[in-house]
Amino acid sequence: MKRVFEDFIARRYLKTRRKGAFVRTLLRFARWGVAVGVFTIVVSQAMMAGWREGIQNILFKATAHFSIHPYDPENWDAGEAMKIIKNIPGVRAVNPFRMDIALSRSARSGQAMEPLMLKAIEPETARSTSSLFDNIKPVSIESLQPGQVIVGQDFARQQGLRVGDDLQVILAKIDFGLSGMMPKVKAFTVTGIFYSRNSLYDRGWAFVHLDDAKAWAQSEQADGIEITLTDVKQIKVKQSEVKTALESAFAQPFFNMDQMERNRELFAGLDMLKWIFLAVLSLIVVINASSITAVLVLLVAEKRRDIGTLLALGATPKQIQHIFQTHGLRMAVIGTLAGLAAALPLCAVIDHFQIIQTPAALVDFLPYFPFKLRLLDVIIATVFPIAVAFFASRNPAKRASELNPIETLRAE
Amino acid sequence: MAQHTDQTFGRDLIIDSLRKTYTGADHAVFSGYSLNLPGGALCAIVGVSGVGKTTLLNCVAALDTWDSGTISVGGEPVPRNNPLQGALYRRRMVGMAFQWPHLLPEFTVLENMEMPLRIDGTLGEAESAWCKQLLNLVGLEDLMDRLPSQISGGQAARAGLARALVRRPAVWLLDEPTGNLDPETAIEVFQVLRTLHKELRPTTLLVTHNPTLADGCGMAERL
Repeated sequence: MKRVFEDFIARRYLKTRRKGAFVRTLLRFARWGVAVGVFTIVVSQAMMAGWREGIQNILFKATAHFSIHPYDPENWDAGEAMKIIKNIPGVRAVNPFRMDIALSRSARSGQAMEPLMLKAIEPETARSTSSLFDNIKPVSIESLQPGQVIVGQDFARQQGLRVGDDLQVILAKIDFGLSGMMPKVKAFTVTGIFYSRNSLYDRGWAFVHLDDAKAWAQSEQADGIEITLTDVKQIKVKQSEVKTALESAFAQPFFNMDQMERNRELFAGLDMLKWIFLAVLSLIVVINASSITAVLVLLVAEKRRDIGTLLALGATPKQIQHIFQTHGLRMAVIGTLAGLAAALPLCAVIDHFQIIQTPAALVDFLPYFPFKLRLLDVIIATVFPIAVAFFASRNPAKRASELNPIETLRAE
Repeated sequence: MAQHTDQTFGRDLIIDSLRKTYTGADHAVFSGYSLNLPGGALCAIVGVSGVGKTTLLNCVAALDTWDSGTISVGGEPVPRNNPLQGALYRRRMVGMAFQWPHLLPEFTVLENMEMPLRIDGTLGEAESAWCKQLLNLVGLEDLMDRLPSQISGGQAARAGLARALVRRPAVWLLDEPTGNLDPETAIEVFQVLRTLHKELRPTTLLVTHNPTLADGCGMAERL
């Protein structure tokens, strides 16, 4: 409903310099308080979103966006499955793999055994789904041969491993030999050392040829396929499409794994932190928007005679209420716009020019603090103070509408 | 004179057996008071302070309530004890001016004139022209862009009188509009009042302490 009259009066009351000095000071305080609150919310939420996205990008760059696995790896054809997956629109690259957990150590240095995720890959296609292979010295992933292993820099340092050394590996699998059950023990030659900036991989992962893994598993098949998409935001949709396609092709159930799923706790923690930030910083807005109540109480007291005149001229109590409610909302809107006007360009500039560098300990992991503005965060930062102002101005506006015009006109 | 709305000036005002007691008071301020004013009449209400002159105007304007009796304007009963209906009734029937002009200080003289129409949501070009015409009639056409603080008391009183006629009300209620002015200015404002009444013929109740002004009205009623 259009409220031209109420808006006309409220706008003039806001603009006029005739208000008392105390009201003017409080008005300025309320307006700037809301602006500061909105500014803080937008910046902190952009920082948290940027941090989350930074971590997410690192994880998704290091490995494929998701992987799909059959419940029964002996009853599928990984090559055929890859052809099916490649035909799904939005799939950029696929790569078959096997994953095993092992204990391992350098055969030369005799260090204690360390746990290692042993990932068996197809060297020709591996690079298309992971950035872990971008920094390998002195070879490239494509030159990996059966019997060779590429280990992470931190693991190599820990074990005193050098290129050309042997790595002893005890797999979590059992051999049934003449002397009874024995764990599978293998030896690989270190042919390269990779560096990913992520200690999870640099310390705990190693790569071997898929043929080696098939041999020790006595299987002809990979036990999963990694998939990279053209658009990471499509991950849930594509997971479902791939799963449906493979289940109908191989008549058995499949399951998906992705980095978000594997790091569920980390992302849940980051999300919780983001909401805690929002809740705490919202208090600034609540406190400052509440001072709108004080401004309106004083303004109503100051404008008692005007209110009486307007009522005598035929204004309804509802119209009087709307005047002061509109006044309160206008204060909040001005403060909110000022806060947004300061925060939005600031976040964009900080992110674009990578102005805030991370401390030395983090610099390899995330070289700068990203600030990502999300529409939902901006909407929350915009709507919240206006909603608070709405409730803050309700009571004084209602009281203004209940003034007795006879008393206010007589009070001259 | 331009016609503003479909409202018409000057309807019969009938007050019948009105009784009013202030909250907490022992005696009625008036009891069994009756008045029959034909449309277009100009009637002065006189009486000593505290006799209830302003209260009578407030009752006719539906700003105040009363114990018993009826008030009707143009045959339509004045609503009692209903702020919303009272406001809507004032829009249709009443134009009020006070001892103090009560112009809104943040708005220019013209904006103050247009305020009743803004309240109604009926302000347009024709209505704005009508407001300027009224200002012209009270000799304020050159001051329409000034703020109330930039005009004299007499000019503000004239603006207050004119504002009360913007809606072409059935009754024009004037509560000592010259009470705050020096005698010369009071006479000047009264002349303006007479001119407006002669031109527009609203049914007018004028509360005054000034016997000269009361004599100048066609009829006087003592409370």
